[in-house]
Amino acid sequence: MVLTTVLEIKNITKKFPDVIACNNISFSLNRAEVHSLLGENGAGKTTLMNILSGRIKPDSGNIYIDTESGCEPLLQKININSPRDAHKYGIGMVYQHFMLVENLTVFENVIFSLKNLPFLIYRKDIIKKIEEISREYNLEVELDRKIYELSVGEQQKVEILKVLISEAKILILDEPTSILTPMETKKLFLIINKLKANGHSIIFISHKLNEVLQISDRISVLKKGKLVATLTISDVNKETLSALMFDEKIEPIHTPPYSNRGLEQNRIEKSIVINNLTLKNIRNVTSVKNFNLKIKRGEIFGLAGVSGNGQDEIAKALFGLTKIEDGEILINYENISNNSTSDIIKKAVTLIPPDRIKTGCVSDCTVTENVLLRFYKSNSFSRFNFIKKKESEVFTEKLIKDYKVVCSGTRIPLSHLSGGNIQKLILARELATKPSVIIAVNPTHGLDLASSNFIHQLLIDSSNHNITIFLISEDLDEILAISNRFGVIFKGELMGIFNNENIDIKKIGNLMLGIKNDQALI
Amino acid sequence: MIKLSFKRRTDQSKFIHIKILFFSILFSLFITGLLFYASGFNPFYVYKEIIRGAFFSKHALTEVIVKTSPLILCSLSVCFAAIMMLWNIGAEGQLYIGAFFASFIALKLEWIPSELKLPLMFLAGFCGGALWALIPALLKIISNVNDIISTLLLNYIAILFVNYFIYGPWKGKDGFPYTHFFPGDCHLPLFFDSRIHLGVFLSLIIAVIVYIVINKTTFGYEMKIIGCNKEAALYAGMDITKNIVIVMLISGGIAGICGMFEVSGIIHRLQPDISSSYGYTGIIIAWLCKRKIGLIILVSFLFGAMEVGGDAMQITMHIPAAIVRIFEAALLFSILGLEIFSNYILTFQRENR
Repeated sequence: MVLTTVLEIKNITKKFPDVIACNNISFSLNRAEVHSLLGENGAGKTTLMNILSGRIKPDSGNIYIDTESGCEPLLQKININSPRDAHKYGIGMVYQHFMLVENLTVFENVIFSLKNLPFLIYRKDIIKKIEEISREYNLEVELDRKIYELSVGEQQKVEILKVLISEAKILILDEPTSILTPMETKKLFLIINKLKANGHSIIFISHKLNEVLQISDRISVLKKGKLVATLTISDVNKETLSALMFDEKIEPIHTPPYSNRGLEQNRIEKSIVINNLTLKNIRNVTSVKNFNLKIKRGEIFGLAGVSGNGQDEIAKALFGLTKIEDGEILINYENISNNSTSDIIKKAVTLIPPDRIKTGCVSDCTVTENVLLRFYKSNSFSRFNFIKKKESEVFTEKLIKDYKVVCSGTRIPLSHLSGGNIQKLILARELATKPSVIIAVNPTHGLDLASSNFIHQLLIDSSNHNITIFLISEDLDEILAISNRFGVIFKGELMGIFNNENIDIKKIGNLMLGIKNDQALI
Repeated sequence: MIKLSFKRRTDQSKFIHIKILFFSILFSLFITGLLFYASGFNPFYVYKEIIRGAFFSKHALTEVIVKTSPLILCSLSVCFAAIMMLWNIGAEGQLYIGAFFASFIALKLEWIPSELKLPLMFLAGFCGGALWALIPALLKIISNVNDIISTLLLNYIAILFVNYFIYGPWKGKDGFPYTHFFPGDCHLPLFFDSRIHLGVFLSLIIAVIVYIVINKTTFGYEMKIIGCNKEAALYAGMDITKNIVIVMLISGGIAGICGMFEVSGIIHRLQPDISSSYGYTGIIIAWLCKRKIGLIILVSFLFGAMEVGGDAMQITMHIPAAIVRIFEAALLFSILGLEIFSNYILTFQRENR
């Protein structure tokens, strides 16, 4: 087969105030190829793709595209100034955080992407077109359902549908598997292969080595904004890629299994007891029903599940942020159901929230002000309702030093810190409250391996100091890596509880999708 | 080809707000200058007259100071609420209700001992404004009514409500739409043989108190956090509902005090138009000053000078004083337009072809 280049990027550079996100990157994409961009978080993958999709303009460098104008493949220099331009040149992007209008139906979302959308919309014709595509690629979704009613996997289908209906020939998939279960990932790969067979070119962005090796034709490795190497699949294996991705050899933390962790199995003291909990989500739909769980003191208990299956509501209920419709929650044998958040904080419970920017911190305020969030009422940092500025600064400096948070001062706005450092600071702050229970929701989401390891180690150390950790995570690997026991949640129902040893991943994956079998040991 | 582009600032310049303010003033002077020119005057001459009218006599200067005080209070009122991202467009109405409550004490409760009257009027002014601001606060808490709309609409109700009393039950004997003069013990003491009254000094003290509350206390900290990020505030266990009520009460109260100062310090009776839209000008000043209380005092002084200079201009040259309002509006517009420069810089790039 003759390889024809459909897209070429030459010497792209993009600088942000604190960091060079893309440093002189050149890269090409062939017809009917899956070209993976592999790299840690913060390596510049997403910035590069945002440049291609017109969301960001590069400081320098050029983009060339096969415009298919003549019969000869001819690369033409193009300027992509907006997503509209990218659309015009047939570049479609499936974002990691979906760009869907939640309150509109699938149909309404999809038609936005039609080229030359007529003023009057002929529903029948468009539906026919959508159905053709969805049948071909197994992307069937009910067109009249609202986006928020769909599962994440289905939402991703809608995103891909949107790109295909816009007649894009080049598809960019940004971390598409990060929210999928193993089964769903498999299905996605089938779709990708089909697309490839039909002459589409795909840029697949990921930081997961196994997946990249499975799906790609070529692999480009990015590190700290630089393109380290581009290799064909036949030339690489896991070790060579890993060596290219990381400066030094970092392995994800994987603690020995349950029984070796020094935690007595028959310990009876319970730290968190949840009885018949029923909760509603923000749309006032019951999302958790009759949920029961007992967590022992000092253990790391994981709750696995695809996002949106009631985990957020449970975390909020534990912290007094949502109303408990029915049932009760006991923490250290005290009923805290429907207590206010400030009362629950007083019981030495702390929450590492899922969305660190939106909930965990105040990005416009200074580092010190963010640390004070938990302490401004305590006597050490305020007297007669006047904040002790100096003590707060000193305390913040100590936290920064102890937890190796990289930041240039205590008085700079928090938004100047990177995601990993913000998360470290949040964790430092929460641990400084000397909690007896930590509820951690997706604590390492979007962090690079070094930061993830640091945070996992902190959680393990805390559990060794008899702090109970309730780890709610969409990342099954994370749960398998550090938890003692874990449960699987699906549609607000507990599918089973497992000791973290000799786990059958396939079975867990099935449970996450709601496929039950009776071998779960409870 | 030369390309223009906005780049994000890497360094936060300290003086950028002052620079923006300076250029905006220059721009607004230019715009109003065009208007003066169009009405047949030399703009430089008019500006000279305005400055002369505002500063070049003891009378003028004291008048400026007298006008500064309500502007300070109204912009403090707006600024205080704005820190929690509440938009109190209703300082004007709260001012009227505060004045009304104070007048009630002065006119209807003559049995109160003289020494207690002024403190009670002060308190009544605060309560009046606070009460009026409580309505939008409760509406917001109970059914999430937009505070901009509710506070704005309540202005009209407040002014018409007060007018009803002025034209009706409280009308004075001579049949004109104003009440009797307040008895002497309800007048704020005057200083320097001018109209500078005790309220002028009190408004400076209130400014200092507001500064301390906002910047030094745990309450101010809570306000700031709630204003920046509600989710984080809830997560930190803050009671947002309680804070909305308290902040709106204080914000309205400050505007109410302003109303009390106007009737008790200057007019000495209740009448229509006790405020020359101080409540609205306060919004502009609060926006210009971005929570900087020191700047609020300075800018209020400048706006006060414009009011007085504008009046002088109307008297000597028969140019409508309303041009001052045009200046204020042009100023706000250009500040809003230039605000992009506080976070971005304009760069010129030669594009290589």
